[in-house]
Amino acid sequence: MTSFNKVKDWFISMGSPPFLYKWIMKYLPFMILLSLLLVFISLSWGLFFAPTDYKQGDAYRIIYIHVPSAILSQSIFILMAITGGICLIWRAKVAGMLLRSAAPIGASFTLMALISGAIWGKPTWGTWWVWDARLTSTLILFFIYAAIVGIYSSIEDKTKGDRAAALLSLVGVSMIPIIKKSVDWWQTLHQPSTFTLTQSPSMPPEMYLPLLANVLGFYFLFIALLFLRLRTELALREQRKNWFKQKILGD
Amino acid sequence: MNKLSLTSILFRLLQKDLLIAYRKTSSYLTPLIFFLVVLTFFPLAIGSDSSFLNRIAPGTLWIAALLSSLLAVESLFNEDFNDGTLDQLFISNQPIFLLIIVKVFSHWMITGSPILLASMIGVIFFDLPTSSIFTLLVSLILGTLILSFLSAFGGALSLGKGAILSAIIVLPFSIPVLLLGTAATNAAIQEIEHSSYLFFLGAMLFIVMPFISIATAEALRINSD
Amino acid sequence: MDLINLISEINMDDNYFYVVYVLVIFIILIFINLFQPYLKHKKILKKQRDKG
Repeated sequence: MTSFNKVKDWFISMGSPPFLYKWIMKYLPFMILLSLLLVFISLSWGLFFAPTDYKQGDAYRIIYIHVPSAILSQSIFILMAITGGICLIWRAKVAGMLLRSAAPIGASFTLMALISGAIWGKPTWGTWWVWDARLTSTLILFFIYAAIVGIYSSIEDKTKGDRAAALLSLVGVSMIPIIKKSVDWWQTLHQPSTFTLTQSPSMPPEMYLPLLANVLGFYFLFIALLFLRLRTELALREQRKNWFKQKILGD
Repeated sequence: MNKLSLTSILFRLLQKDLLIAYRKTSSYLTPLIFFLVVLTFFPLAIGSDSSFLNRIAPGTLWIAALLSSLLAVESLFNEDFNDGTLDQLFISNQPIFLLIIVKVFSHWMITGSPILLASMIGVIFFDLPTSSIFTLLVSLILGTLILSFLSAFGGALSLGKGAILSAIIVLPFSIPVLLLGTAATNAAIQEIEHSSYLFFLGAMLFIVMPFISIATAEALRINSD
Repeated sequence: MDLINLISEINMDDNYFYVVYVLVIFIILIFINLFQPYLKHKKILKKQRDKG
């Protein structure tokens, strides 16, 4: 019982900027190093030591960057919608800062998924791009990320910007399934494409395990990058407060 | 003091907006002319033989309508924001999302419905069969209404910031409308069964209308505090 | 010794260049996401320290 209370108290105290900032200053170097190490190990495993695919040769290894990036791009958007909801309902400043910190990272992962997918497509299926449902909806996801970044960077007042971005994330997350479905149907409204770019899910464990490791590593990397940006956002907003000045002058 | 009913207040709001727009010719003329100009550019820039035009006609008409409604959003909230009318709407005791529905509807009547007329010129430009006109009109009515509501949300979020930011917000969400509308028009041109697309567009309108209006109200609230 | 054996087992076909391109772009994106907040944070600290 008390351990649950301890976790609850930790969670609540994370909502206070001074506590959060000091926590980040303490654990951030460790988080970044650990996540970089994990990604290095999992990427090396996938890019070097996993077996070569007999059909696609070695270009298939892009999957170890492409799939985790795509998974992250969607998870981060959902996280933004959740923190956006918290920001709008409870007006929690830290929730707004989390949203602003997550957005550029999510956009980067989406971009990574798009680029790695295009580069993978060229040698494997002969084309950089095709307008099938999955690629098109990922591209649209990227545009929605860009819209969110655009809206909060265009509003000077930080709290207002947080709430506008939160609202857009919430509306965005509810529209994503609709967009996905309609782009899916688009293929039946018009001519279906000559080939689909769905990966075969049946993979031997020697290939599947590094993929899982990379997904895990990328999640760790996202958390580290998130706290890095959160630290900067905290500093940006609280820089004139007394606790901040005492903290940095004291260091 | 006369106690006004909700419906009469909404009706007065509609009247006021329409009257203001009627007096300022550019409110309804510029979106229409813009639509026609965009229409003109596609054959000029891409190619103009008749079979090709038939193929690109639905997409072109819809893109022109989309761009027109994206740019027209400036006249929806910005003027009212700048002269304080928006605040007046807020402090009145009426449910804001209903006021928004009325405002968007009046905005559509001013900027969206001329497009319906202009699309008839589009039929001539792109040499479309007369059998497709009815579907084209119905899909455009429903589609431009949905687009008006979506751009209202974009305009409310980017209040005072210009149409291009609003466009970036609205464009991803307008893709389903675009796909449905072009599919309906395409099917009409090729004389395939297409009533399901129109029903779908109608359903989309009735779902979008309340939810987006609530989101728009929230966005206005955020931006005007 | 084991590591050297492992590394010598790696031989890739020509398609591997595509993997290298992706890896490079990935590293660039990660570096951007690492350094841009870090430098901005440093700037804020410097500004507050200079103000006294």
